[in-house]
Amino acid sequence: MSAPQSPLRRGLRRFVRRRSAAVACTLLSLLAASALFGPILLGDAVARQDLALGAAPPSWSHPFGTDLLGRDAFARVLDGARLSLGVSAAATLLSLLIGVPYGALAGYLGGRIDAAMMRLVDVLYGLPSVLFVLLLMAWFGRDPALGLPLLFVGLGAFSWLTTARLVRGLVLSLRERDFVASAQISGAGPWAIVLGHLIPQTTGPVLALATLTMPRVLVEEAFLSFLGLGVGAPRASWGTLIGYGMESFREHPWLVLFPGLVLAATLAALYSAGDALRDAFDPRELAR
Amino acid sequence: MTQESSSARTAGHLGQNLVILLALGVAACAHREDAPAQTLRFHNMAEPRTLDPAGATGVADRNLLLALSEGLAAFDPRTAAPVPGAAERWETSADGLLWTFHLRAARWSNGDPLTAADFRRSWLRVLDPATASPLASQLFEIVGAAEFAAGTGSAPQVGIEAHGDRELRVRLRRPMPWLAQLSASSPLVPVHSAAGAAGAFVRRERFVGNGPFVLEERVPNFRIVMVKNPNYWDAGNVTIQRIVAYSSESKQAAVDAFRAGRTDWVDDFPSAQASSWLGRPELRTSPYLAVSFLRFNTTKAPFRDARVRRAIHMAIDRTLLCERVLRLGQRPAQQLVPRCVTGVSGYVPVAGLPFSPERARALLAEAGFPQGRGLPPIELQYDTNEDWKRICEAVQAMLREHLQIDVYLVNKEKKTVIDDEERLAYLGMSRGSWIGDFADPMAFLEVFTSSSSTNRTGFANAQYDALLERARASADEPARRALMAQAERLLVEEELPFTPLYEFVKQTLVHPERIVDGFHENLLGMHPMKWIRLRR
Amino acid sequence: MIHHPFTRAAVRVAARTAGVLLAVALLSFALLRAAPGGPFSEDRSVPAAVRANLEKRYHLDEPLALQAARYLWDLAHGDLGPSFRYADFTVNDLLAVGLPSTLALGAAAMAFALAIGIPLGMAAAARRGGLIDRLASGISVAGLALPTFVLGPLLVAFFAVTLRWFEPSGLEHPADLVLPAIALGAGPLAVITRLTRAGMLDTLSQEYIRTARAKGLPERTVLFRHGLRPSLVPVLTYLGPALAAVLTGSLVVESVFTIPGIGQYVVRGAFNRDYPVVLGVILVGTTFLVVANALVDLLLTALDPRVRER
Repeated sequence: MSAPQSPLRRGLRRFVRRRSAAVACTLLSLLAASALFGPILLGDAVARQDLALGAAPPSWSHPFGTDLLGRDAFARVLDGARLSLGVSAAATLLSLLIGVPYGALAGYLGGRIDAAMMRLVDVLYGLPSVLFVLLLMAWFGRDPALGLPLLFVGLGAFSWLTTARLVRGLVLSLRERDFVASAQISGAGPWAIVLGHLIPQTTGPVLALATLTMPRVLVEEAFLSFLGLGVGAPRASWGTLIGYGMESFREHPWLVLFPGLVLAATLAALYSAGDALRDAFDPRELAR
Repeated sequence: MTQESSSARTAGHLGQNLVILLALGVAACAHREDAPAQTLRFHNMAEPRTLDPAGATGVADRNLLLALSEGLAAFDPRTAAPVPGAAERWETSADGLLWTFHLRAARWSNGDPLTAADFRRSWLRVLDPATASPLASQLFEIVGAAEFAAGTGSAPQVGIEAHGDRELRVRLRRPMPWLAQLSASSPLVPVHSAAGAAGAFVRRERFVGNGPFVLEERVPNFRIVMVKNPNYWDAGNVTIQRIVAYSSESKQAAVDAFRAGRTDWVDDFPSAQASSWLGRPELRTSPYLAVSFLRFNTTKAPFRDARVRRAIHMAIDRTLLCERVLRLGQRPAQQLVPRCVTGVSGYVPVAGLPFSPERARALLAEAGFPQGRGLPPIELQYDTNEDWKRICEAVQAMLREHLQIDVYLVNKEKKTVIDDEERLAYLGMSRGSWIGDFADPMAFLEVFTSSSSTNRTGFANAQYDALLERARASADEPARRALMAQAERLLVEEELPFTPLYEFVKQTLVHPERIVDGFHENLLGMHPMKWIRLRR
Repeated sequence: MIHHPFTRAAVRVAARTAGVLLAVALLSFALLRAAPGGPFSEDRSVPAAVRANLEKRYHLDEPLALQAARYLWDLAHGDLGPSFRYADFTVNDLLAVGLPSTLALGAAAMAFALAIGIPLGMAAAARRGGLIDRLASGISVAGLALPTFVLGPLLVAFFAVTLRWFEPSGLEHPADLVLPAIALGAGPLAVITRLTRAGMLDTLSQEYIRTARAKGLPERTVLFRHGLRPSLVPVLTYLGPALAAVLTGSLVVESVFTIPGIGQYVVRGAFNRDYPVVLGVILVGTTFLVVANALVDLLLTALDPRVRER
């Protein structure tokens, strides 16, 4: 046996050794790179119209075809990647950052505090986000510079609720385990137990949920941009592109097919990357 | 617990429950209703707001109300011109201020006789402040009407008089050449005296009407069923036995139902799907009494300056917009009044300013913004809708190409847009449209008077107001038209508080083998169902 | 013996529901009334005098606090008020028509998602990387990559328009439930499969499972007797909000299939500024949510003996 490795390095090694994870990561980094640099290469192709051309099927000059205004669908999918990936990543991160500690603390502390914290979650669940967004738009919607920050607020305000409930449920079942009791005996405070012992144990389901957050966020983002939140036309996220394509899916199937395929590939990659991450960082596996 | 898996059991239970649920459903409604030959099924788009004539503001409401009731006049199915309805004939005094309608002998669907007093009561009901009808102002040219509606007058002072059972006289403050048309429209159809009761517009046993059909069933946001009214005066000419009108805000759902053979007629469909229908026998398009435009906020820079407004107007290529983006035969509009009114009112719309990027650039430079330099950020807002979005994106690209101006697009839900417009809070331009209530230029021109609550541009021009006032007071038709044309020229050739884009078309899908006759296109998009003939 | 703790739990759930409902009602009321425009702002602006008449008729001219009190008073008497947009109906009417459709649709969708998702997730976890696991991943990805606004119209286009196996719209026949239930259940199915699999994998790596295996117990016994119950914790916690979402979040499905349910009323009601309709549907949805969450909490305790309320 070689010298002992840190859990992080062991986890990482475990992760990269999996072939599916490697494929997924390659795909995701490719997407991220094209999302970052693609628009620079494409210039104004996102908005450039060719009304005389109109909606044309895929060809060599327009690999994903063109939309009704004669805009290159490939450029629009690439530009949409930037928006959609960024927004999903931000919203997922927000939901983890708020939801995980909130849920874990509620579950660990239990009793009245748990009840009060969960009632807040119930109330927020009950409020429809559409009302909240209407107000955001009415108060700040005038300023185009605020588009993206408002979108994050609109998405982040509600996306942590499910995570919080999930983590709380898991922690309720975990906190009676022996390792919590032994940590308590050794004098660890609630935060130390929550952060050091309980949260690591919930990694699997939480990661599973996190990979599920992205598609939900994509759909929600499309709905919010329907309400006017986010960046204005002619820029469009994947959700908006797919919604736009669905309007004439018989007439111009390429307008929904290509963004749909790219979205599906991204989700599949995220899915297997999440799976591999879960395995690699499973505390019980690491302990072995 | 045995070795048997609990998950399999859970799954089994769920499966069982599903089967039970389905079985219950099967038992509840054993067979689906097949459409009898003389049942007309169509998609009426959004759920009507109400079947109360005093509150019915939407096209969906109107479509149904004109099947369930009939005004003094009715609409000709080909031209949408007023033809005798509940009234056999009518005449106007020489000064145009007194109208006399002569009613025919007719009955309500419950057998009660229909009298002039019913019409008087119904019209007063629209004006009554207690009814709070949003349509009340359509009657304000009647003597005493505006005062009654505002709460300062009283019903007896209103110039609507019943003489005997069969004669209704209407006294006007100013001529209203479109009164016959208006009397055919849904706000002025009669309501039975029992209409105040709860459920009068929902439940079959409570509903009383005077139209060719009566209400049978109403499921909100799903469908409204109507059946033939045997007590209708012209029942012999009605061949349809039953009408099922589906309500759905989804145009896609409407088209799917049509494709699946579930409906005979769809009142509208997504224009992005034009290529599927162009050249097919199902598609019917016709000019529609409506115009699309972009409002300017004339109270804020840079649109305080009419030259900037004219520059924007002249930099938009409407022909390209109609032919390549809209594609269903919409006509470019450089004026406000749609050309289709000419056939009915004899008014010849004005020419307006042409598309001319050179002149547009010159105007912009003259206003102090050469090549668009020095302009503040300009917003173009629209209420969320794929068609509006495409149009605004195209306009955005045209302004960038011809004037080097970058406008930014903002979409909002409708009520926010309206609120912004009403408070003049928008920063630049806002998409809008107007559907005429009746086929007269006045239905469009009055929108931009300084007192109009639908103006929403901040535009207030004393000369324009005065021209329209004089036109309203005139009983001489050629003189009235000339005054209106003069006003319209001022509006669209000099002031331009908005830039017109195109005249609407009505795009309808009609099953050619089911609907064989009596379905015509007209400028009001009106299809009186009494005349529709289905294949036998 | 049995009914005593049950009654206590029921009372607790009722109190909790009432409290959340009141908070949601008041907050929603405030949010709604702060939104720009009103029920009577239309393309065609009504003259000021007429608008005043309209507002008077619906008491919208009164101070907000009085309106809120009036609403709560009527609510306590079971009256949810009139609808502004659907003027011929009261909110009670709309709910009476819409709730049965929504419940049928939601139940069918959740049954579909659970009946397939849980067994599939378990099978996937039992043979990691196997054929079923891949199939399960495929189904999950497809279920997520096809949002309802894509899946719904595609199902209609293929099964109702092209093949004509089903009706394109309406909910008049039990068979009419099939397509909308699939469209609505696909998302939850993906999530449930994924969560079951993750929970199961987690459980299977626990010490006591390894012990059970070491004792030589058959794999089936290990999976179902020891593994299943704790692995369902994530699915269960997801189920509470999912149920409520399926009931009030079915806007797209109701719209695509022309189903007169209540899901569409939250968003449409907000767009129309139809205050009583939005509030009524939110209150119904929140009741479902809180009750579902309370049930889930009870089930969590039953499912995992280690979960104990302190």
